[in-house]
Amino acid sequence: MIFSSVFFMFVFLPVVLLAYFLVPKKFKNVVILISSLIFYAWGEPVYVVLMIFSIVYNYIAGIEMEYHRKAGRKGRIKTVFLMAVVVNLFILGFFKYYGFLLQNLNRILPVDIPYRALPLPIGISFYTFQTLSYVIDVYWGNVAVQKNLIHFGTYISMFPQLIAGPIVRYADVEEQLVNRRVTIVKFGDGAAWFLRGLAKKVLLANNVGMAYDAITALPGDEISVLAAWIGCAAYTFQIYFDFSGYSDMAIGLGKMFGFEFMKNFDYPYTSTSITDFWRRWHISLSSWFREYVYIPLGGNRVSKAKHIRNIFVVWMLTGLWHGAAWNFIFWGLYYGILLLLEKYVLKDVIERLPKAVKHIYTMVLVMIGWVFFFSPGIGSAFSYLGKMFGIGAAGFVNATAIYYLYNYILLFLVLILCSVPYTYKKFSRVMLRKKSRCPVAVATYILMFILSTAYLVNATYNPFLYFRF
Amino acid sequence: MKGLMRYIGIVKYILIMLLTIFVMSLLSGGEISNAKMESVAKRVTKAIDTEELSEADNRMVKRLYGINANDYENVVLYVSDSNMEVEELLIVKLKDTSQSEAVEAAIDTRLNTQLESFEGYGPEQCKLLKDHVLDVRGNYILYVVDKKAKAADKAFQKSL
Amino acid sequence: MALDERKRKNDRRRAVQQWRKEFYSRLAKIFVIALAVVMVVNIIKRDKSFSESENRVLAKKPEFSWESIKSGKYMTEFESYVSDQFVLRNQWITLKLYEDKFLGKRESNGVYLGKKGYLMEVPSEPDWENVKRNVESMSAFAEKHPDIPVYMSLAPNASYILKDKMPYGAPARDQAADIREVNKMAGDKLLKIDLSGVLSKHAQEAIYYKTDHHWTSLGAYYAFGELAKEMKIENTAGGYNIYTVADDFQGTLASKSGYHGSEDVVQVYEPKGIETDYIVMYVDEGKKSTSLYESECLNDKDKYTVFFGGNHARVDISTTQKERRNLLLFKDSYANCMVQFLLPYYQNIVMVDPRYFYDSVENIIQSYGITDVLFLYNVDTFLGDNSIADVLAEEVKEPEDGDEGAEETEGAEDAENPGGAEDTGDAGNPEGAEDTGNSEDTGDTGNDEDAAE
Repeated sequence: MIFSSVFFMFVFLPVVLLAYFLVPKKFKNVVILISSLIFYAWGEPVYVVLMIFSIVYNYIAGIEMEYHRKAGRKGRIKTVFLMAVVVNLFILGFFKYYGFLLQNLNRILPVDIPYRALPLPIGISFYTFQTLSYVIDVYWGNVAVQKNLIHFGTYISMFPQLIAGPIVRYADVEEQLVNRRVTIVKFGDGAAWFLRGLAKKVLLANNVGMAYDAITALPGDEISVLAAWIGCAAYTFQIYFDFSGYSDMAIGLGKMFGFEFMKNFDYPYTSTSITDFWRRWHISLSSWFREYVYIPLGGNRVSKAKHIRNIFVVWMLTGLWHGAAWNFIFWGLYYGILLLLEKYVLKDVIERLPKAVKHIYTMVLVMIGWVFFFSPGIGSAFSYLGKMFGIGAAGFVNATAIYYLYNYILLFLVLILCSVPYTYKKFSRVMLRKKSRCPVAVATYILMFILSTAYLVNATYNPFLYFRF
Repeated sequence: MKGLMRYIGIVKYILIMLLTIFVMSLLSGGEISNAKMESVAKRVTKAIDTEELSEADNRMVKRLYGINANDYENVVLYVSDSNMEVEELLIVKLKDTSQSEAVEAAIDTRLNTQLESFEGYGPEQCKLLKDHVLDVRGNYILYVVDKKAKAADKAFQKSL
Repeated sequence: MALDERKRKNDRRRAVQQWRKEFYSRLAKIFVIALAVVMVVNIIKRDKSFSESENRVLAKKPEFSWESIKSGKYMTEFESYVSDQFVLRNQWITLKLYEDKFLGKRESNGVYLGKKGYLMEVPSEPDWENVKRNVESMSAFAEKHPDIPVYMSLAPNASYILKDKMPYGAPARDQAADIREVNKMAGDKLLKIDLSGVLSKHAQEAIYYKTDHHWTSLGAYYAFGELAKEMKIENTAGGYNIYTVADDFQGTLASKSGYHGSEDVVQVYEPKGIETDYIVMYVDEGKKSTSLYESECLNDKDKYTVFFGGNHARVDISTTQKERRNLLLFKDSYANCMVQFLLPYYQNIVMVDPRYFYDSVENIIQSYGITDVLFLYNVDTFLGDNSIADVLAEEVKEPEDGDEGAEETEGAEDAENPGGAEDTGDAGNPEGAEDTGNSEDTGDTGNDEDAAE
């Protein structure tokens, strides 16, 4: 099930909200847990078993660690912890990377191991990272063990963030699991976030995605330099509005149930450097890696050589997390190298540049990065990249490029406007300046709601790019 | 408390065992069936209404699906008597499970050709085509376009 | 005074906070009410089974079964069901179209939204291998019958001829180049009749439907002029009576794109001065009719089906024409409105649509004494076709007994000739005996039983 569907919005959500607000406080998490399991099973009727296993296993691991801690058996704590980490990583590794691993082994080894590639369970990268964060935090003593299986299950499986994040650390919601309130104002705030996210995904991302689909489907000899850039720009916007839209919907849904999640995006396309970019893009993921991989390895408080190693490890893992394919690993390492360059080589140079130049520098590098992200393989990535810079392209400009430019120019302008904080801030300020404008603000949101629904009723195919994680 | 804790340790191991069984069952699923084509075909055709269908020969199989019936252990094909109806039934018993990809591709092509031929002219036919059943079970493949496609699938699975 | 200012600022801040709260609480209420109302209305509303405007069957509530839950099919079907039966579905779709147009999009679901209300199909990428196979088999067919002229005539589509109505810069195929390519593949055995010239000349007239992918009767009329010239049809009618049979036609492209802003006129042409009686035989259906116009189809959405009621595998027409000319016409739906022009000049016209036809072509040629063969297609369909070669590969069936023997020889032949379809080496097989069993019957009924007077 995905949020941007008629079924979720007009069947699942109203029913769940009704149940949630009718039920007394102590059963509210039960409602969330059950509806989340249904939500997950709706898309993965078989793999829901896997998620339930993950919940129960990690719950037990937590309890065991507490028990041993009380009894002072340091060694046993470590054993339980390590085993839990191994089991979690094994699940993730097996279901996600088994095929990739064997594919590459078959390439190197003389034998040909037959294997049956299993379909990827939706959201496994997200919920496994959440279980890992819990287990690690318990081991470090950062959080108290959750003794209630319902509460724990709610944390892991909560449908707002189950399928596509943000990755919520247990420490951030520990208190909220048992103690939260929903006021009508908070609910309205949640509704606003949800509608904004919905509009971003349905009105903006899906539409510009069509330009990307059309251009990348063109035969190679029809893609001019301009067309290649338009295609790349289309994807750049699509993935941002798609993913951040979905995150916004998740945050909004969380608020409707009284949860406050961290925001996952902070206008990343206004970044002034790659370092800045990664503080604004998929914040929950980079935080996770920083907290549980980078810092334990020593972060940047070690020798230069070790620091470089740390960066490479984190970025290779980041790339790998996004997908079991070489182009994702390449993408991750690409950013690792850029970050190192920015830190050690280009730091002073960049600081002195005017803001506009910094923007352009960042965006060009980010767009190049996306080429490796969306291409089916490294070869085709380089081929597409070549076209962007004149190698193997059908001229600088051609009729096809102009057609797409003409068709999408208005949309691109809207996209740019929505990528900067100015637009929303101005809207808020203007809308709330006078009492009479309040209904206008409400009307704007209703309009977004109606326009989005029109697209949803029509949609038979409603992709979410970050879905295969 | 100690007793309970020991229990919990055991539960963990039971869980892991269950998980292993679960994974194993996912990985298999390609069991070879020893069922004979005649019995499979008989049970499947009973589930649908074969009045308006006739059994077709290998040349038709080649004509419609582009595959050689003799590459496989057994092929049974039923087509509509009328060329403007889309009801169809194909059962293939593979000699080797590696053949299934080719057969699935052929079926896919056939389905798309039919969909294109009837697009715009026959919404009823298009619906039947879209509601087709394609069931790959190890060495048996079933493709059926019919009102009772689901019943045929059930009969098919039971007969294996 | 500073204190006053600060007080004012505080007051203001409190007011803004108050409005903000009001805004959020109002939004919350409206959001919940909207969700609830829509959900309730959808539940109460009765389900529709067919969508006129989309021209497709709408999903019904799926049946529950553990198997379908395990495979996830129940869920996807349920979601389709909710989506298909959504209240005011058509209105939502229209709204979406307006949103698209507002954004400047000129394409919807494979259809260009052109100028002056013209809808044009986006041409698809041809499968040149299939085209080659088809053209070569057509050539071989012509070679096999050296005494019968075999004509090939490809009609370009609106997206090429009506260039000026296409959205600015929209990528379209150069169908003239495509036709040239096909002509090259065809060699000299096929007699080519070019239609692009005459259609381009009349491009400003209503030669294509605005809402449908077919040409109009007017377009077919101009094309007929060319056909008559090349196929040596003499004494063509001096004029035609033109009757408008429908003026609110919205065709396949309207359904596909969802754009219902234009309407078309459907006309039929009756030649002046030539009286032709004829009988139309729908071979598959076993139906007979005295007119190629099926007026009840005018009550349907797809009014183009007034010509023959749509597509058929094979249609035999027998006329009172004295001259012994018999035409075998391989066609797609473009030819449906062309036959009304060809009628007076042939004693028999046999229309075969290779997409649905699985029987023997040779039988037709033999039993009717075919004197002319015409392949009449529109370019887009022709370049995407994958049936012609197979139909032409059918060989004359020789009556033989012993099906078992036939099966074996078949197998052996196939094993030796992996080429398969074109290799009609399985000559020893009685066609029709095992398969659909139609061919023999149709071959016979053609002449003996139901011959026209």
